[in-house]
Amino acid sequence: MSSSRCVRRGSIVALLLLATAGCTSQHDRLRQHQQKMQSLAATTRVVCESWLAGDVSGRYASTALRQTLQLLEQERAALVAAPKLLRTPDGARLSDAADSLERRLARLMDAVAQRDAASVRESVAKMPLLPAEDR
Amino acid sequence: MDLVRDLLDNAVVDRKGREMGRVDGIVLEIRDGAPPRVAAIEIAPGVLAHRVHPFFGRCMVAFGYVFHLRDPRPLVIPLGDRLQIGDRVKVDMDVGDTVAGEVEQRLRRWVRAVGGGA
Amino acid sequence: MSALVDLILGIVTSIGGFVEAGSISTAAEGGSQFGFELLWAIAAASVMLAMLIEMSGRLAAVSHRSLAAAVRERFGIDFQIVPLAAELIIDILLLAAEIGGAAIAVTLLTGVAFNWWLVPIALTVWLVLCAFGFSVIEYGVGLLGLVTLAFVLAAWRLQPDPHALLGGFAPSMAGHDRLHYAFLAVSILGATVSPYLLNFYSSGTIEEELPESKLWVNTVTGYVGMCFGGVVSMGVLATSAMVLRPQGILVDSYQQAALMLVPTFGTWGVTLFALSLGIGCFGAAVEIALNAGYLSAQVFGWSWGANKRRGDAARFTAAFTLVLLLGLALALTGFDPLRLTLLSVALTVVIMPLIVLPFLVLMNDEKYVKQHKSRTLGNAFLAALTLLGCLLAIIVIPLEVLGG
Repeated sequence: MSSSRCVRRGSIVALLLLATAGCTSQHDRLRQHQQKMQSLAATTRVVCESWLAGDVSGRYASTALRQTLQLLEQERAALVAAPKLLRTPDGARLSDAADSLERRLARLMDAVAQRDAASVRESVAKMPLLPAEDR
Repeated sequence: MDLVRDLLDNAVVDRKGREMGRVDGIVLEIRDGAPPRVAAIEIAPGVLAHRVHPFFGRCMVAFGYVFHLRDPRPLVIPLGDRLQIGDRVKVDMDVGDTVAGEVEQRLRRWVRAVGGGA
Repeated sequence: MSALVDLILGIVTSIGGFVEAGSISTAAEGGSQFGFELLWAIAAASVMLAMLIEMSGRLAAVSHRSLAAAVRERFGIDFQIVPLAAELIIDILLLAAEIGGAAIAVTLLTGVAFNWWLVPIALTVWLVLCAFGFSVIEYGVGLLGLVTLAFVLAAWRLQPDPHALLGGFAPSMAGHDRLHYAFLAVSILGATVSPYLLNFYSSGTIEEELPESKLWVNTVTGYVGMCFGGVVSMGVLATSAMVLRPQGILVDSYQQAALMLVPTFGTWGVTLFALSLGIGCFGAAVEIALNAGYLSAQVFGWSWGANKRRGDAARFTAAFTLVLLLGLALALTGFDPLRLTLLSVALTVVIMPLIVLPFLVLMNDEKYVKQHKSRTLGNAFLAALTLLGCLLAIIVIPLEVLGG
């Protein structure tokens, strides 16, 4: 096979692969965002419960919650960048859940900084469970 | 001797066994009515860079002038008594008398100034 | 020191120095998302690394040349310029990731934002490189790194289901997120079989003046050390699978991964994770920077050696200092260390064929290995790894785009 034909075929394969990067189904993307959101909510819960149990320091809990907030911001930015997803009922619920989690994280960070265990316990107990996802 | 396999890119050491660089180039003498003869070896970043691409070779020569090196031309060592070709190439010279030695001396002053010669 | 002491130290430091940012991040992410299903990838990568490390050491002990020097002599600069440039770029990326990982470890302990720790950590790496000889660097890093055995202890104490654990060693395709699974499997290979490890090990063999008569020390250290080191990585994956996955946590940050040791070690959990991450990353940063110096000096024929006074190998010192500065500069730009790690391991896979192919020639060339040539199994392994490397090099970037 001549080298120019190889280059042409290789380019076509590369272009096809790149093109499929944009073709992940809407359902799959929504599922990925949902999994990420569930993970961030679970992280928040576990960090706070570990802090309440005395298993982790306030320093670590603050660091971990701050990092979780940053990851949540990245997820929200990814959702906002996909308006088609936001127009679906599931996408809209996910966006609302992200807003709610962000406010809760901010309150939890304050409560941990002030060592207010009661507020942390109350906030964690009220955390909504996102729809379960089979893994 | 296989010039490419056994000479080109081999390590070069001075009379005290100190590293001088590598054989970056080989100079052949073309003779009328006789096969080419190895005349000398070259040691220089410019020669090495030229093998990758002539543009890089010109860049390395320019760096030499920009950094005011004493003589940025390649170190050319003729084949003869001063050169011993074995596992490494041994040259009857002192690395301090070469441009590589000059660069090493300059950097040594910096290293000792910063690190106290650690 | 006697051969037995050399051997024990070699194995112990191989175990302690195995885990760093790349292996922690890929194993933690793999365990949290796919349970035990990627154990086979760690096992396979560890065996590959062990075989390549043994060959690097054998080459160095017999020929008295490091891998980089042997490649320059045998293949010339025309071939070597590509893997050399690629390896230096990957070293800079890896350095940034390791410095960042160490900084995050300090943040976990102190609460102070990790950006403040980047410069002090890089400076400490440089001071260690300038002040200490090879043995102190290698053994110090390796012995301190034994703290990473906490992952193995945690995995054992969590009492994994033996059937599920053993099932993870059988290569399989995940039932969900197959592209991401494939990407992680390839990333585990890239994180484990790092090019810098091969030249670093061969350079170390020369620094320690291992004689040809003690090649058995190299063989046992390579195989036992690397395989036991792989067990530590498996400990990270298994612990993540048993602690984080059931809680629905997908590892996207080191702060999340730190939770995996809490159920086993309680109040010591986060501290042990931070120490493991910090020491592993710090040690790796020292080795990567030192290897950048080795690489440059050996390819261009400069004086080199961690056992020499730094002023007596000034260009070698300048090379590792420059690479360290560039790694620090990249870390200071604020890129997430975890993302940098995954990018660098993907690039490692891209250049893997160029790293492995020279072994196929050198390990069969009497000029370099004399009568210690590779046997049929070794050659078959190298040929298979080169072909696999070529295939993975083509698919890894699309996998990162689609499944990363």
